[in-house]
Amino acid sequence: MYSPTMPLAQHRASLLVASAFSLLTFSMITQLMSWVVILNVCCVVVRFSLYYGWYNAPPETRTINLLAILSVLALGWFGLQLGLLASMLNLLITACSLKLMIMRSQRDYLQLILSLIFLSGCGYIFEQSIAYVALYSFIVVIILISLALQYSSNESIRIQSLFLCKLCAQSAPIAVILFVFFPQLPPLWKMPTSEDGKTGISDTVKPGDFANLGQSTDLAFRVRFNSSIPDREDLYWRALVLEHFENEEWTVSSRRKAFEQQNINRISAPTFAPNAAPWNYRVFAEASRQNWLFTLDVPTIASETSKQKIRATHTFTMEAKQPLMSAMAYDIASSPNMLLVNNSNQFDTAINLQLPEFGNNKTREWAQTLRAKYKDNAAFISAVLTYFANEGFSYTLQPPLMPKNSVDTFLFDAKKGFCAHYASAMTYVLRIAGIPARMVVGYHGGESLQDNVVSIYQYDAHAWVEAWQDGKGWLRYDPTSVVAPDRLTFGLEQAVGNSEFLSDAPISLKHFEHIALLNELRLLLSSADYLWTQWVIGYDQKQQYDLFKRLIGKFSFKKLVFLVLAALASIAILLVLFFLPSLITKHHSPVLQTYLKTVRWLENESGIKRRNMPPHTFLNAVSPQINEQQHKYAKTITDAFIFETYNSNDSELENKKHSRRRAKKLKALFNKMKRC
Amino acid sequence: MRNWLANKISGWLKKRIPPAKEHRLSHQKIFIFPSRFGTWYLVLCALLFVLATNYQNNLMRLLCTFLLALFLLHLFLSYINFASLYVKSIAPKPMFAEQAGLFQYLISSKNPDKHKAQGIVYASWWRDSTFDPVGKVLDQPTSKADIPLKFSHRGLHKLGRLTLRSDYPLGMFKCWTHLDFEHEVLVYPRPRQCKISLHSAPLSPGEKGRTNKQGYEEFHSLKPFQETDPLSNVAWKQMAKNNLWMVKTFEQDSDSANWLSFDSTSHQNTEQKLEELAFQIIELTKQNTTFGLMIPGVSIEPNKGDGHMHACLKELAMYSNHLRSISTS
Repeated sequence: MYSPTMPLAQHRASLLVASAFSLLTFSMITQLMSWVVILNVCCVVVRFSLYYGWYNAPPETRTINLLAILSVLALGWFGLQLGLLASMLNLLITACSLKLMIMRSQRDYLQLILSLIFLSGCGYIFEQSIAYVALYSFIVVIILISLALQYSSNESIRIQSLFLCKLCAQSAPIAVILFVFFPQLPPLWKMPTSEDGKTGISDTVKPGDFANLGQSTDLAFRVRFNSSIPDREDLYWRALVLEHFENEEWTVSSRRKAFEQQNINRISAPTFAPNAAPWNYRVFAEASRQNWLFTLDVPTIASETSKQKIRATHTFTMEAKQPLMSAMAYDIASSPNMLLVNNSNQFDTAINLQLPEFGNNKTREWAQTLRAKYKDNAAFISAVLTYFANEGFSYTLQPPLMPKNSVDTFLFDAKKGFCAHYASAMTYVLRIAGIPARMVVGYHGGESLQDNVVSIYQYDAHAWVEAWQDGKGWLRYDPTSVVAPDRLTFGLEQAVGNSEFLSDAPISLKHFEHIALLNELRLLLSSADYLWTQWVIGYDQKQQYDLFKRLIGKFSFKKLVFLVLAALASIAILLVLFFLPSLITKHHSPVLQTYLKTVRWLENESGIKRRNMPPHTFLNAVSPQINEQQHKYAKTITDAFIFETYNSNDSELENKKHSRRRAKKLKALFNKMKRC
Repeated sequence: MRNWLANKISGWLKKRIPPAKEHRLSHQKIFIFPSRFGTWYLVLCALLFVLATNYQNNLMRLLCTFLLALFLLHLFLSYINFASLYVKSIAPKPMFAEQAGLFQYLISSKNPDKHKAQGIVYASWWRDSTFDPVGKVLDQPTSKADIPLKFSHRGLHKLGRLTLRSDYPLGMFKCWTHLDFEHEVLVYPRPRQCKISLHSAPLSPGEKGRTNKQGYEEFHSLKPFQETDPLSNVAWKQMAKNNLWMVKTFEQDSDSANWLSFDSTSHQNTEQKLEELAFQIIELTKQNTTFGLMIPGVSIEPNKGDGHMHACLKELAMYSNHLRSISTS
């Protein structure tokens, strides 16, 4: 196969590719090893020096092969720690860097182009915000401009950019039609996922660290309710249940994990029928790279599409079958009045009395004394809550450090803490008293974006307690509610005060909520982001199905065929709109147009048909029928036409402006002639 | 089998794209198909789709559908651009066997007001990969392009089909056509280096055996006798009249000793003889010498200059054809 070689110096296409590549690398810098980035910078520098002619020959293939072997060894060495996805990405970037360095022929160039487009696609695995979409689209357009430069005859980047922007604008509607109608499939197989970049709450909660989440303004998820938003006090978004306490931190119990593994898909149906209408809602979860999802109690999966992606657990939470590498939407129906009871309760009560053998002795003594006073479980629990309410506890985002015997320190010395401290201490106390209890982490509340949409941010992270009561199942107790009732009714900002809230993010728009205009802007951006999430990132099989249903009503095979045909037809119509004008309309030059008009007018005026008479002969033939002034104008137009047709060549291109002005003048003459 | 198929295809092409001196490209003459790059591009789209499905990533799907839409538009742009071409051939000049010559043609837009053709047009000979394709950038209203061609045997050859290909605008589709320009190329024998040997007498079959010298001398003038002059040249009649010893001088006729024929060559093989003659003809023209050509069935009167050279070379090129026509008549 013949592949032309490409010049090295002054070759704009390769320069553009090199620039696009370096942009791409820097957009993924968090995923890359530093030596990969350095290699990339080197090869871009090599390309630039080749372009400017500081350096005449690309490195020898032998040198590059040696480098390639070294890189593969290094990747093999570090790859084990990186995980499959990140090492693949590093490998691809390395390979592209080396290819860019020795790129000589068109074939190398095209291989590189394909790899870079693929890499831009991979970028979306890690980032999905509008800003990144703009960046990656920009990179793809640069790559395409480079291709256009390579294949077209015009070397001007400006003209090629204009051409390509037009092309992209034309492709966009077709792309959208294809996007809407292309079948949405469930994942075909499991893909490697990235370990780092996990956001939000984690499955290991150290009460002191949990407060850090309160400083983050990142979006955690959005929820669209089918009806209005329930009361704020009820918005306990359950994400994880932590049942094991050791080394001052709460984790998901390993026994629980084993139990879930064994009893997958064996969760009993709800014990009681819901006695109130359930809340139906759709959650748009951001890419957290974690499995757990967010639901209100007691959740059931509400759509078939969601069933393919998520599953329920015995702790009344939902989890995704794969870590959320991109934003995901799922449908849930929650029945708030249902009891948290299921077939794993025996096991639940067994593991939820676990405590470390030693430590926190003061608490142990205090709890046992209290238990002696209150034999009844409910009474004991309310006594604990009363202790929190009356003993001068305060709620803060900046708790003091409690490295050892944290529960003792918290309950009797510091008396200051974030919700995780309260939940942790209370669970601990209940377990000492022999009441099965566990810590639940998730989010609470949220900011309403529209009448039925709530945005939940990372600073809404929350932790609370669940205690087992025979006959009633797991009951929720929230010690934070007695210490800082504002936290639940108004949110974190009210509870801790403006000085503490988001002190790590001083420029966040959230700070300027009191300035109406800025707040308006913040909410507008948030709404745009919501629409983006809802219609682009969260668009899935269910939404596709709903859309089709809205378009065609009840589903039937015949209607579906019509729908597909309609989609194809709309693409065809777009193509016709784009290309037909250039195929039919005859663009006469303006001078010729004026001349033809003049001839038609003269024919009408004189009654003499021009047919194939030469221009001047025709003019002479009609001259008796028109007055002198008209003859003069007609002659000027005829002369101009003859000049343009027979004398003009390349020089005409250069002074386009001039010829346009002349054409305008002729048109004016024609109008004057008619008036005479 | 292969030959049979090739014949079928060229027969079909002949019907589809009839030979002509100039071609306006239209849907009948154009073939369009994804290029190698275009095929890999589609594979890339498929890969992105699988990746998007597995990661449930709609942005990747959107990128994938965008790339597909671009591909679709590319099809139309490629076709419209290529269909706007107008190709006019320039009659090829005669050339020598086994030496590269040039075939020239003009490319322009059919209707520059409507669509100005752009991109790079690659030309190659259909079913002949002696030369790499030659690219021509369409950056002028009319571009003159050329492509080397080469024949291994002398004679009058039909010009093969010229394949023009363009990947405009992004290289995903190739548009191509096989044009027959209805031209014939005269191919001279390849010059073979040898000694130049002119003969004074044309050898016609009936005159074989006669010495070359006779009948060639013509009287020029008289000059005074010198001791060295041969006695046979003494003008005895003049001496009898005037008693002066005069000698007749002779001039060689320019026509007489300047013939090239098969006898001027050293090889036995006719082709090699022709090749040697070709060399001698070129050399003699360079020296600006007058010569004539006499080979069986052909005789060109002595003359000189480029026109004469081409006339002689043409006869050499067509030599066997002459023989054949003689033998058949």
